[in-house]
Amino acid sequence: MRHRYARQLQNVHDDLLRIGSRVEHGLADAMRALTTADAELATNVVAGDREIDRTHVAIDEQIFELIATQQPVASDLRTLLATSAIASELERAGDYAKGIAKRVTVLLNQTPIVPIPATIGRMGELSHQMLTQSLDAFVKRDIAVARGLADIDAQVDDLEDEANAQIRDMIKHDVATLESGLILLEITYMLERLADRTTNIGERVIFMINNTTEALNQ
Amino acid sequence: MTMRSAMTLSRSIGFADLVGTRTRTRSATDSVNAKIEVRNFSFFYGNFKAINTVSMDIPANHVTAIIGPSGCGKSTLLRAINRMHDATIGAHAEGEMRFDGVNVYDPAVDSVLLRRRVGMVFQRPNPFQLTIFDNVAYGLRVNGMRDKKLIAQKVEESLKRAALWDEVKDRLFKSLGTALSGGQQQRLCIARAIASDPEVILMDEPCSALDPIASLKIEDLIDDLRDQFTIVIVTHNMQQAARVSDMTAFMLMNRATRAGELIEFDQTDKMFTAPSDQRTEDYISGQFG
Repeated sequence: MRHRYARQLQNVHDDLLRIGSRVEHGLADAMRALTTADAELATNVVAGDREIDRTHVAIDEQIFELIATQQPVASDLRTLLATSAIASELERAGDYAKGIAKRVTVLLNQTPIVPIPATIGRMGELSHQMLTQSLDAFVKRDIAVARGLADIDAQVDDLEDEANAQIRDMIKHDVATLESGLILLEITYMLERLADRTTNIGERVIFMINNTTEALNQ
Repeated sequence: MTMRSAMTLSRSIGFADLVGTRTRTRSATDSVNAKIEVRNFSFFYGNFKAINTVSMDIPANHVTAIIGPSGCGKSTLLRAINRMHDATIGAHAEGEMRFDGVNVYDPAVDSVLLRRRVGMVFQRPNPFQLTIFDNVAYGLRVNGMRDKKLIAQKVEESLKRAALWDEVKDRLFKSLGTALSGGQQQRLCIARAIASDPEVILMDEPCSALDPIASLKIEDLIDDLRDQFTIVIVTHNMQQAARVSDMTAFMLMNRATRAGELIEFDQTDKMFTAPSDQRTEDYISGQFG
């Protein structure tokens, strides 16, 4: 048994879960800031993204070193390649959470104050659920859990269409809500993209487990 | 099989040289591209079974690596291919080791003639206390070649194929083979092995006594030779197996019987990215061995 190697693999695994957890919190906080009009919370999410970026860089450095010095093969190699890709997906997901938080701070300075459509809140819940589920699939090495992301992603896509229709109606009824409406459209776009990132994670998990490529986001 | 194709195969492998006029048999299920077909092959040292019922097809003009922990029987299997165990008292085989369809353990097969077709390179370079030229020419002369011009041609050609010519061409008759560096000695042994135009080259840990640079030269040489020869290499160095081979066989000793068994045999890229057997995965990942 290669103890140092095993410890290094475990460190990479733990760091990925750490970055995943930060992104989960970032998204949850960004959505809470949106629905509760909490500017301070939104600012905290923006600040927290730097730590996600740092951890992402650290993960890639560790994987680079492991490949160079330990010559991992087979499932270890697939796991490391998948981990590197998943870390990048999480970093991008973190950027979307930060983007949502930034727009919340802008939205809160707009007048009139517009109601947040419930469909956006629901999109946020499902995107968060997908993020958690993709990380569960990674930890449990469970292909069924990874594949389950496809159905939820389809729901998120439908909700985005619904939310965007509602926002357009709002703008049509009161043109003064144009600026706020455009910000909300950006938020729905980012939630939809974030959900797509989690399906990418699911695809990497499937590759990691059985060395095959599957598309979860048709 | 038609008489014509049988005759063609006989010529191509020098079958008549091996077993005289004996008729060869080949089943319809034989793999067309297999140079060596190992079929339910077991090998014994007296009562001790060292290898248990191994079956695999070693493809022609490819490099096949045999890997596994110490004591798994990989060297025994390699040496069994050209009957290197013949002189070991009590050593015997069961099953078949077919070389181009001929079971080399058929009593009619002449092991000396077999080894002319199946060359061997050992773990430690073992040049003779002869000049560089005579080291390579030795096998040719033993095999009856008398034409000096032809011998000189073959020596030059073999040294070139072994990527050693440029380093030794100015001292062919001055330096002893034993005066060369370790890596050069091993390439000299490879030149000696290929001088008699074998079809198969067996390599038993050919780089284990060499430094990394000399090892990489041997690996490059193996790569150059793969089109002309069927190469079977036993190595402890898994990364070397991954680098040089097309096919990889993983062997493991059965804890209960102590006999070596073939666990998995597949294309090398598959073996090192997604092996089918967990034991292969554990071994190549350094979980044991």
